[in-house]
Amino acid sequence: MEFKDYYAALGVEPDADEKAIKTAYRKLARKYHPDVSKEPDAEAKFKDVSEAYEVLKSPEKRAEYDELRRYGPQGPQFEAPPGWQPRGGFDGPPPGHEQDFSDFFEQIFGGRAGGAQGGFGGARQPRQHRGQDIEMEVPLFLEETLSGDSRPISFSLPSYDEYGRKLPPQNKTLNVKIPVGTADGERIRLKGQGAPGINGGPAGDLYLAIRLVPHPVFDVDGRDLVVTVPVAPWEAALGAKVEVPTLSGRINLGIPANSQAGQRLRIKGKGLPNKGDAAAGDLYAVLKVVMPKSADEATRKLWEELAAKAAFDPRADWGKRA
Amino acid sequence: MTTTVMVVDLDELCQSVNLPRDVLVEIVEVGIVEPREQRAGHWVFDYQAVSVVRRAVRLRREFELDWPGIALALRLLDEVDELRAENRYLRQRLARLLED
Repeated sequence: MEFKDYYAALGVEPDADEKAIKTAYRKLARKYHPDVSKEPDAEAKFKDVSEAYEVLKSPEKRAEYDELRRYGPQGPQFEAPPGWQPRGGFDGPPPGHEQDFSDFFEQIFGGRAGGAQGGFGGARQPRQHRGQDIEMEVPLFLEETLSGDSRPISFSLPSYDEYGRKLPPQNKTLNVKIPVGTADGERIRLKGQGAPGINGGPAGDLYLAIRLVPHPVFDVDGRDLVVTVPVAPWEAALGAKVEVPTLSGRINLGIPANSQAGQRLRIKGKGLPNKGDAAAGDLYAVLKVVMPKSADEATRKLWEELAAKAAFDPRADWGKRA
Repeated sequence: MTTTVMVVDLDELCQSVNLPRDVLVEIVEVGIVEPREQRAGHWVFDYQAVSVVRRAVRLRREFELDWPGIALALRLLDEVDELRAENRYLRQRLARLLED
């Protein structure tokens, strides 16, 4: 087991006072708290920081930890000294609830697994606990929100013995129905599919946080979709019929003559479906006029002819304004 | 086959987030979560409320904020999320229109 340097985790000196420790923790919490942070690895970093603070903020735990530090984190591997008996009472939440600290922490301070509720010579009945709710992100393709089909979702559940001690996680797979019209950021609740209860307590719930995977062709704007349609200059000028992809197959789209770059054409009802009876969103085709990369001699002649004959000044506005 | 449950009542919410009823009432009063309806005199919440309250509880514990402070923080965080999403969308649109 790795010896955790809690002082380094908080970036404080080993002789730092309580106030300095608190300030350091606050600062790091603002930076890495998963609820407020977009830093990469915020969750893992915050876990280290809060574990360090959990120990260093309590004079009792800090004294125990300092003693172990003196005993010597010589190698990268750490074993608690033989006969090590933690003294302070573990007043944290029961395991599996909110906090999930490292094996190092568990070995030093977690020997009284289950906190005050059990494990002390078995004199008291171990108490029932509702299992932990589990939240996990599920990436979904846009196509998967159309049909209301089920898809298998795999996850691992923490597991504990009757004293609340950690066991290896259990892997589970469920077939989950994805409701039609599920949107980005929504959560699907699966009652009773979270961590099993402790001592016969009820199981927690499983929450699936939906993330829509960016699509190579369609951009999502609420319930509407946007597809960028490249057109040749003459298609924009003369009008054309072009094949445009939708989430449910290709359709023919009429482009009116004299269309502009950036013009939006609405294709009704071809956006993302809504929940219930509400109408589906629309698909917007946005025209992007694309020039050929090069022109052969004949084409060049035609452009020259056009330039000579067409009375068009795209910068006419500048004459008035600048 | 598993079923999705769309709403939770106040007791279920209390149980899910491990908070007493009066604290939850306070959380509702400052507007951190809003009941979606009052069914026969008791509150029913969208199940998204569980995640919101849980987030609020973490903020309270980790930053020692009071509930009105948390309500403000959550609103601003939501706004940041919305702006980030909008920014991502606009950048994506711009890239599609400008690049080959």
